[in-house]
Amino acid sequence: MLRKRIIPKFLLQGGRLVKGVRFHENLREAGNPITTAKVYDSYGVDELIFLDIQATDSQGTMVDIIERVSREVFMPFTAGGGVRTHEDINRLLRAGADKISINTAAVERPSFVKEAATSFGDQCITVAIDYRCRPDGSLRVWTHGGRRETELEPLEWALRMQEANCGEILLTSIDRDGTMEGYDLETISRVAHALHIPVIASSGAGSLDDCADAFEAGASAIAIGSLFFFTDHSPIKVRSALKSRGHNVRASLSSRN
Amino acid sequence: MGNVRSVQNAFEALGRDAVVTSDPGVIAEADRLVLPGVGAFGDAMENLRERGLVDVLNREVLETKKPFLGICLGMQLLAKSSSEHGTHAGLGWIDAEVTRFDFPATGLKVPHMGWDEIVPRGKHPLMAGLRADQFVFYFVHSFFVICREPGDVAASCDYGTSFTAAIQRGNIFATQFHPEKSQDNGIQLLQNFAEWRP
Amino acid sequence: MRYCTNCIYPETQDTLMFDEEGMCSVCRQIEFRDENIDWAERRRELDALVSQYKGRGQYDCIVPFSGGKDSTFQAWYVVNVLKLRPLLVRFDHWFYRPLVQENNTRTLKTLGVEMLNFTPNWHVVRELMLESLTRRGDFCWHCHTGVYAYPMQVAIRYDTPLILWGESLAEYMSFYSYDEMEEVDEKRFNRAMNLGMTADDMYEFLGGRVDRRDLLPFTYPPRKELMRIKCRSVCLGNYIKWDTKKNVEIIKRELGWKGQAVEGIPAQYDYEKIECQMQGVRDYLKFIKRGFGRTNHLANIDIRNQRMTREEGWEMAQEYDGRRPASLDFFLDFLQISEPEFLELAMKHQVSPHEHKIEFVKDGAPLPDMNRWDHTLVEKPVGPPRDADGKVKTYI
Repeated sequence: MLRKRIIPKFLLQGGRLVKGVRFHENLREAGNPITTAKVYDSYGVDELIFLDIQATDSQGTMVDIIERVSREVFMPFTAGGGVRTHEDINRLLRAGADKISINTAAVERPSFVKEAATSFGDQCITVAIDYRCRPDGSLRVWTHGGRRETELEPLEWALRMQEANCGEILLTSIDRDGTMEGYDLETISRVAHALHIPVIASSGAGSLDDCADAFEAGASAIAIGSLFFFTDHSPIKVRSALKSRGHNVRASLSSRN
Repeated sequence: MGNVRSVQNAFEALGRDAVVTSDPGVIAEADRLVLPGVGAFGDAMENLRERGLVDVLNREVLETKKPFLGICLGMQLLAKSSSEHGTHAGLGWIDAEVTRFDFPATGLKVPHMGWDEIVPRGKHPLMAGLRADQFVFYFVHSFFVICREPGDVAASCDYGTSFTAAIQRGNIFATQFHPEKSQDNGIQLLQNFAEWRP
Repeated sequence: MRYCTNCIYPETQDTLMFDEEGMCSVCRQIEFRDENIDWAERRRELDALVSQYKGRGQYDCIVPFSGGKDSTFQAWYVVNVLKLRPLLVRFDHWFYRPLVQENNTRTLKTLGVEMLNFTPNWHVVRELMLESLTRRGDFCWHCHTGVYAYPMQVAIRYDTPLILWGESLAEYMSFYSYDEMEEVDEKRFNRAMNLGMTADDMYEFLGGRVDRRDLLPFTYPPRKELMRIKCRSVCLGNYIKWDTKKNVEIIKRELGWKGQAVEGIPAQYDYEKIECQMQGVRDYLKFIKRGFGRTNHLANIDIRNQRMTREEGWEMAQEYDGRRPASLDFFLDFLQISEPEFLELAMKHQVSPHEHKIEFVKDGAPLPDMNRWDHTLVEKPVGPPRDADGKVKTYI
């Protein structure tokens, strides 16, 4: 049976890992991306997501990091942050990434996603959707690293991106990012049940219960940041605990994953 | 196109010389061949044809019988045809068809993306060294292969329907999953391939 | 909170998994060890392995050594049974208790071996302890990394590829299973030792308070270097059946090794973790985070080896685990933090479903040798600048 996935989310700034709260607040050092990738590989995580939050145009740093990580770590990587052109995607794939995350560029030009899916294969293209809650309770997609609000509603946008043949959705609640107060289960459930492509739920994991809840809400995968960087909850603890609670995650007794 | 670099890196991490090429001359000189692939079937076949690689591969694999490993799209290409974005002919080495996962009713997500279990048929040398609970590998595909000859199936997988997870035929082996992305289990398989004497 | 049906490990133990019978993975591993391993065959493999290295260089092998019961047994075994010429390598984590030094003197004199001792910079160690405590609720980073990385560096420097460690991690945790031959390598270092943080990470985390070179002793050497010397780093516990009680009897008899009281555990376990002054604080932190302590762990070993019933183990753990250790006073002084700050930091790292109840904590008795522990305080401040209220900055 297809396992549910546990995916550490690495945010890069200036070639280092950082982690904040609600994207921009309280940004803290979180380590060296290359050695941390090796460490997480030794834990047996399912995939890694690398997002460049500086979203520079050339992705030079990201390409370099992916290249170096690819030499020693053999698991799937998703890379993103400022991806706008076919050449951006090509460069990252050639460096060793398996999936490319597109966010702002998709909103600015939705046809880009369809073109990319056709050229590179739909399974290569992940659309990242960052959203916030408005005071009236409605949700809106934000772009540019959580700096610009759009008129788009996350579910409606996800459905459009599914139509455009993207392979997967990375759904991130900006409000919950770094708070460790739990995932936005209601939105995760709504989106995951409406789509036939996988949804990775991101932001808010603060405890093992939160992780279990996100799976139960219908996420195919959970992305985790602060819980791994700032507590003693290692990926091994999360996967063994979830396995013991009956969740279909990959967790074997040996060190061989 | 696709993630060739990781396959190369994996072999190099195992201490093997691996070169990425589309040069027929280099292919002819090589001891073993790996055809990785991610992307669309039709585009890939067109690519192979344009570079004159179909003939080279037919010769080196079917006649010279060099050890061959196909990965993901590289396995699908061995089939007779695929229905991805129109109907396209494959290399035709294996009597098989490629079709799209289509599960309107079950709620299973497409692509089949993530770590899944395979059920090996028999004991192929490329699957040596893996414990019973270690036949879990990384898959990412929207199209699947069904082999008509049961003898060609090295392993199967179940995702809404049973499909071929790995193909075996003499000096040919191919996996729908990505061994170069399957951590220790995958690296074991690649090591077995590097040492394989079919 | 869920507990193993065989032993008393709770679900909050790292790596633990329960099967359909509710038995934990460690109990299963021990069953495997007892029933499925051909120890005679393993011993033959060990002999074959060491014969490749005997007589080759200045030393036949390296034995990482602390002076605790396990490494003392390893040293004895390597010299007297394997008949090898080892270099003992001791990483000084700064908290060795006086008795350990005395034991080591007797051990070294009796065995007749050479030992290399490395002591890291105390100023650096304090910084690492505080940073590790803040990020993980576990201050032992410098010790785990030093103990496991430093001997690898020595192996390279002395061109001594064979390194013989002690018991397998499969004895108490599920990072590795018993049917694997556990290689004590960088993967294991990352998986089980460094709390997910490398020396390079720590350098950035410490924000310029240490020099990059200060962290070299805690750095795992590059794979290329270890491959060059054809390093083999293995656990004796994969080749000989580990029996702690028997091992302790041997070292007491043959080397005059002595045990002593340790905070938070019953007196009969006078051989367990006697080498660290901070053991009590370490166990207290585990109790705050996960709801069990060292007595639980020791009871489990006895339960699995049929020396105690589950009920007896449970009673014992209830009695001894979770007390506030007297050594905490030393700890707080060294790291320049207050007890409320310490508790606040620790409580942030609780592992669900455990919830620590401060009001039920009793005080533990001080240890008899505490008056011989160094309490020198260095004025230089530890840690990053405090926040506006003068408190230690936390990350969450």
